[in-house]
Amino acid sequence: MSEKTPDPAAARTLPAGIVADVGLLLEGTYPYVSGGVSSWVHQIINGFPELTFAICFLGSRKQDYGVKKFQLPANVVHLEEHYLNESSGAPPIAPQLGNLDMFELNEELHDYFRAPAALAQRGAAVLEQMTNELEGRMDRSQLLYTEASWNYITEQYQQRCTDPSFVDYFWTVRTMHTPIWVLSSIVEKFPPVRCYHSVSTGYAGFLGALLKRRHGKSLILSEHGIYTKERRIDLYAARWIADNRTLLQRDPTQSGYFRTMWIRFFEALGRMCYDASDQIIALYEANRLRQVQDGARAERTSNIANGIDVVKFGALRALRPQAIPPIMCLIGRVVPIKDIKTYIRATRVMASRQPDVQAWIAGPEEESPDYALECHALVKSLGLENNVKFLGFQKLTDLLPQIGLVVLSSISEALPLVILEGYAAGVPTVTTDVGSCRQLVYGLDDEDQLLGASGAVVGIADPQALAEAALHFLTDAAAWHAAAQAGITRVERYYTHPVMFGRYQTVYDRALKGPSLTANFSDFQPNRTSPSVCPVQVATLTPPTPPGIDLDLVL
Amino acid sequence: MIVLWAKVAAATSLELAALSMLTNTPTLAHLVSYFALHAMASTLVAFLAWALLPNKYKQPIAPAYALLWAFAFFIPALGVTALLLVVQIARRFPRILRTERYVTVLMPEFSGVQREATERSDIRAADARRILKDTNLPLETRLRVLVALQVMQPKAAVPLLMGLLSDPSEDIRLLAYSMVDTWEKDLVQQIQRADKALAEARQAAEKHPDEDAGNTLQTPMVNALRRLAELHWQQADSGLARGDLRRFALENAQKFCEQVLLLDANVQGIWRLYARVLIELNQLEAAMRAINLARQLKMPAVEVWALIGQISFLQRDFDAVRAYAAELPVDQLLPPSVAATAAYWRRKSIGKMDIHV
Repeated sequence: MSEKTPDPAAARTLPAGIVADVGLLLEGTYPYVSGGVSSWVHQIINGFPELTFAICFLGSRKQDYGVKKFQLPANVVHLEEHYLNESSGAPPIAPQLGNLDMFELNEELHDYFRAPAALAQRGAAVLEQMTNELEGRMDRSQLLYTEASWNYITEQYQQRCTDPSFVDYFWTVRTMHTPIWVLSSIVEKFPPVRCYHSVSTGYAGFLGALLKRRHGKSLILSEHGIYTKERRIDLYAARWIADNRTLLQRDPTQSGYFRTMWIRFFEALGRMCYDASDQIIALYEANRLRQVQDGARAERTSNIANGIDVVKFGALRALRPQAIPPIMCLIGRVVPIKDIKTYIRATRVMASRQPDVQAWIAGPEEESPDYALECHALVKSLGLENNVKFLGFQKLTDLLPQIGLVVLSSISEALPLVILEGYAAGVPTVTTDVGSCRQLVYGLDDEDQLLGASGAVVGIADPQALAEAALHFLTDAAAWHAAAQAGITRVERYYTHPVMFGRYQTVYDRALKGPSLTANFSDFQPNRTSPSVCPVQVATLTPPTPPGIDLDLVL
Repeated sequence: MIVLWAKVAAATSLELAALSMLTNTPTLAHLVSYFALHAMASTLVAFLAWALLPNKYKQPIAPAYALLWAFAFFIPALGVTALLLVVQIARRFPRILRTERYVTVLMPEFSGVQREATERSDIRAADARRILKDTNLPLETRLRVLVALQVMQPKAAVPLLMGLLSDPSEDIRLLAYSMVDTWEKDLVQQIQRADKALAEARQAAEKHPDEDAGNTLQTPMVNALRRLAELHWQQADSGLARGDLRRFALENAQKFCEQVLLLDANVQGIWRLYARVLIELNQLEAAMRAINLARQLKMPAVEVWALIGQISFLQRDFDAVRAYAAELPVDQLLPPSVAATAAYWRRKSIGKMDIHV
């Protein structure tokens, strides 16, 4: 599905046949999901009005997303959306032997995934050839209907699978591979652009790698969280993945075969994306190091921190009341990754000591309705109906002048914009020690640290510590004012739009000149240190929602 | 075309001639003549049908032709017509008659890999704590051990997991969190279900206020209250609730225990739970009073001793602990956990130190 909003003024500046400057590859985020990553994408599009953008949105199922959460700026000239977990699109059933040559290559490819270092040169050539044939001799029907596919799957099952269920193995393999052909079909139809920009690895990143191979344009990867890491945690904790080992076979220190397969599948997607990317950008140093650890080449990596509109938010300081409002606010979607429950529990601790304390939650609840219900039930069971308020989505410019503290209880963040926006509006923060929050609160380098703490950082899932820290700032005016001032200075010095856009200007300039690296997979050498295993074999009887879709539900 | 029609005419003539052999009272000669003429006609009909048969059905030649001939001979006219019709249907609508969709495949054999799966890791529970705390070990090793904690009882695993929430590795932190969260969620859901059951029991009781208090209306309410008391206790006892929240959970447990006791003081195990809650809330005298009441209601001596011993210990009255230990039956009659503690307190000395001093 695609939607075009032509902007003739912008299109005039493009070379003939080119639809947009930048092809944005977005998985489970802008413009259909609100959140930090989406806001960032919106900022980038608005921050570069001289560039035109063509957006490819990848989602799980259409029904999982509502209406657009953002008004598309005029320089978005193309939007198309694809749903990887929808059953349509399978070719008509046609029994066939299968292309034996391609299956031989397929076997080589999987050997390569298992031993990338040993088979680097040949493996890269095979990968190149296979991806070229995804719409040709290795189309989807080869996986679904051929005898060769059946033989390969049964053989692999016998040789490698430690889970006793062949049925689960068979469907896992089919489910896992299906999106690959959806992505390859996108490659053929996506409009010509001057460079590609993916905001995650995973499916979007792999699509970027395919597009780069197909069209030879530069690929930028900007990661907010680390997709592969998030997927790994999700998969370790997932309950939908079958594990059919008997009591005798079950070793508690070994996660099930299918779980491991899913994890390695996403690791392989990530590595292919890293290897195809000309510029790999993290929000902060810890994430950059993680990218390198996961297979990114250090020389292609760099950090660009988020920035905000400090003028707009700075103006809100004049609207603040003289006294510190006894109100803390968690600004974010009501989803598990934000660990709203810890925030509510912390409110219970605070309310026992300061009964008039107010804990607001400003964010939409429709993205994870079950979790939202659990949160409401928790408020009731803890007797906090008079303290906790669920406000739904709020305009920050209306909200920030009313509150005394921005609180984040997330178990995972990257570089949260709401902390910066709070700083600019003169509101300090108490946050969990996740992502770059420590750096945002205490400073990064010596000069930054000299500004002082602009709030407090506590451990994850520790309501007692969160409550103590929040109470400290809400009841100690001197501490609050010192933190607020440190926050204002910090955000105005290090986290502004001009700083961020300046860095991205350089990134885009370089990308628009063309790829600095080989356009293909020829130098693909997945993680040279960690053992990689076939990324290809996994699913359950009931095909699950493929993990790795809702990036914005993670960040 | 003329040749074709000539063959048709010949076949028809032969068939009619054959049939004419049967019109009068047939002799053996007539019958033989009929079969001979019919066979000749069938040969021609099969030959005609052969021309209409698609090439892919003409292989192998001899059996294919024999089949056509047989249809023509044994089912005159209809046989060949039906056969040709089927062939045409098969040609034009291949999916209807496709048989190659179903093929016999070899049964998957029991794999050697399956047997390998039974080879267990050498990492044992005793090592788990050491491995998890050693941040110098490879992340994969630590993650594997962490996953293993999922099979442990929450009470044993939660303190370890809580410690890992501040681990330097985000992978470890997040996985530990997800495990704690899963247990916490299960417990909260059970509390919600028990809450609902209690609300329903209360509604039912309100609808029939005149019913006898000991009747069936009271039992669901007592059960729900007892369940709530147990679940809130579990929150505190497992370590899932900490700090002020632990106290909050214990106070809830206390409240529900008291509600149960008001309705029915003979509910199995409620006195023991009540005493444990009071001990954890540091209401030691109230706990002792509860135990004395429980004694009057025939609470088993072993359970009483354990609780009184604990209270005496917390009150630093070690002589009382020893006195209660002496009253206990022999170790063989005690639960293992109690037996070990009782044995300790029955000893006169530890090493060379007289503990009676």
